[in-house]
Amino acid sequence: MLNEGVLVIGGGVAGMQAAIDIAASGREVALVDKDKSLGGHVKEYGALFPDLTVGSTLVKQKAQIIKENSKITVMLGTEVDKLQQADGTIIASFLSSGNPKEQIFTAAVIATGFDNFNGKKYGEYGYGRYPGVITGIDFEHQEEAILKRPIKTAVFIKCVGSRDRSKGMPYCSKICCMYTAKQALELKKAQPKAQVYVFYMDIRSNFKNGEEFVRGAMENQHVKYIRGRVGKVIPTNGRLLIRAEDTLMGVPLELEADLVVLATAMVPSQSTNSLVSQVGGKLDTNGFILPIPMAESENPMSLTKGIFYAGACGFPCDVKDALNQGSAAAAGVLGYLQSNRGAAK
Amino acid sequence: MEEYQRLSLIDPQRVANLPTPDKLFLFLSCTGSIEYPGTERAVRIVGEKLGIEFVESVDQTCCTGYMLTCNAVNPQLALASTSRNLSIPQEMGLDVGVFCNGCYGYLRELAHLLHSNPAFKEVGDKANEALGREKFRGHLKIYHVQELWYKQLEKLTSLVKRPLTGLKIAAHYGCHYLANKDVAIDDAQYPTFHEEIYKALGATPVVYKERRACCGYSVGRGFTHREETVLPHITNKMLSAAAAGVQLMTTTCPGCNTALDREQKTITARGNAVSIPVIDLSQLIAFALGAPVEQLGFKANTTPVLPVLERFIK
Repeated sequence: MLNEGVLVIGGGVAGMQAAIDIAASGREVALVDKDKSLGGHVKEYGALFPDLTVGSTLVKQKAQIIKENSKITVMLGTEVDKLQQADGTIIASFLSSGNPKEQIFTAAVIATGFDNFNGKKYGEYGYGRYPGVITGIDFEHQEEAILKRPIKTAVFIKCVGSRDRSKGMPYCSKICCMYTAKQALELKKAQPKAQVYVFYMDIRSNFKNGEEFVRGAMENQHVKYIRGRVGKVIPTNGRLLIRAEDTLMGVPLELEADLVVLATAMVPSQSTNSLVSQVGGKLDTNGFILPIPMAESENPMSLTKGIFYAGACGFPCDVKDALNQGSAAAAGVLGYLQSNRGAAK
Repeated sequence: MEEYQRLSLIDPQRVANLPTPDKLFLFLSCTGSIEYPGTERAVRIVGEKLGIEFVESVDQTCCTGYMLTCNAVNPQLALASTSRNLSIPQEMGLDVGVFCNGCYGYLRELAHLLHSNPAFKEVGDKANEALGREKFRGHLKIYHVQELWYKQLEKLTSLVKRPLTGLKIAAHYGCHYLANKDVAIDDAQYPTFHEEIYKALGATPVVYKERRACCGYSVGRGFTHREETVLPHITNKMLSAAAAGVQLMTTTCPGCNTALDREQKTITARGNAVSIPVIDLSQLIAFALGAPVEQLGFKANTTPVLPVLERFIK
């Protein structure tokens, strides 16, 4: 039925945006996600920097547009098992509650997103052991409950799984500086008397208004930024003892906290690898999609003939960037269908 | 303790890959054999119970690690010694068992350097040639006995003759085993496998605040730092163990054992009375397996050991 349609793999914000933009041209789109609902990670996020749009609100709004567009068929609880290119078409095999099904498409967008770094890999922080230690993602999921807890002191630890070669994670996950500042701000607003510390290596707030946002947290809300790594978290007297170094002052320091939030990294999604390799695409050394050099591709989101990608399966990105990439990939698909594929026929 | 086991970061694959050997070359530790001769004996006793025969060689010399740490020897000398020392088990066709974290770390590291850098290998080869020994080929495996004991934990449990019921034991893991992150069986920052062993012996594991603090041995008793740098650090560690109700502490490194046991006299003399016997994990296991206590060499300890173990001896 959909054999002139476009396949979008991944129903996170990047995939949703790609589906919306492709369908706006009047083409049929199949939007597939292995999850039971659309919205990927973002549906469980609270306020998103820098304009503090709520993640779930954004997802609801995009889902509503998709629902109202009869050109988009949403296939939830469905995994793309095989993806092949043949004679200018793309053949996808789906697995939906164990039943395989095959379908032909004209083009595809891979938007398989990312996974969260497992905070337990840092034994020194005791994530999964000490009740007061959570990840930034947990903070988003349980925001309401966390902000109601009595907190005298909270400590945010950045770069947990980012820029740490000893953990095999050399890259910067990009968004953690911003979401940490946002979470610190929210905590400070909910509990103005709480002492909030952020331990950082560098502050990389290079987004539109990012620098001002972080400065605002420091200067207006008095979030205390300390440059240095936290070496250990030790449960003491029902609280959490933080041992760290202030590398600007050159002194070791200790403080007791009630809440420790680990800014865990974004890691490549498990499903990206098999899909990309099946269509002859490549991954970089970190497991994200290896882009085609800028001057060699017609569209920045091109992967291989008729296949595009968008969002964090390419590299960690913020929500705004994921939406941008979704739109860019959609433009790539439409351009491809108008010219390349027509010419081939 | 249940919670610690449930949240263990022990790598099951690495444990599964460990062997259950019949025979190993026992790499002797200078510090171990001089300071606490009972440790070496205990390793043999536990090995015997588990069916591991340990053979040694009078030709083996120091691993050179401590000298290297303190910059007291030329690294070339360390490479040549390691190449020579490891050519001994190689000639016997045996893998190596080590009971000192220091020997373990340095042997592995230096063996890796010898194996992967032709210039370093040549240094070792020349030494072995001059001494009429085989060239070190770098294929033999080096194990710390603590991991081999853990591998056979079930068997150990079945062999316990003196269940250490009610004894509150705390671990000092030391740095130089767990720092080998590509091979160590547990997480460097939150290890739990010693606690599992205590439990298997019937004892009560105690987690104390400073459990992952360094023993201070190579900085405190060596050439590099003075007493006032290291003593507050060890004092802090031992006082936190005392506050947690620790009755006995174990190590897997004679260097750590020396620092934590011998320095208690100084800590006490400086006004913080502390008395927690510190013994090697192998000594503890051998004791629980029923080894004659006079063979375990507890008289070598500065902080008396028998007061806490006496009640388990029939």
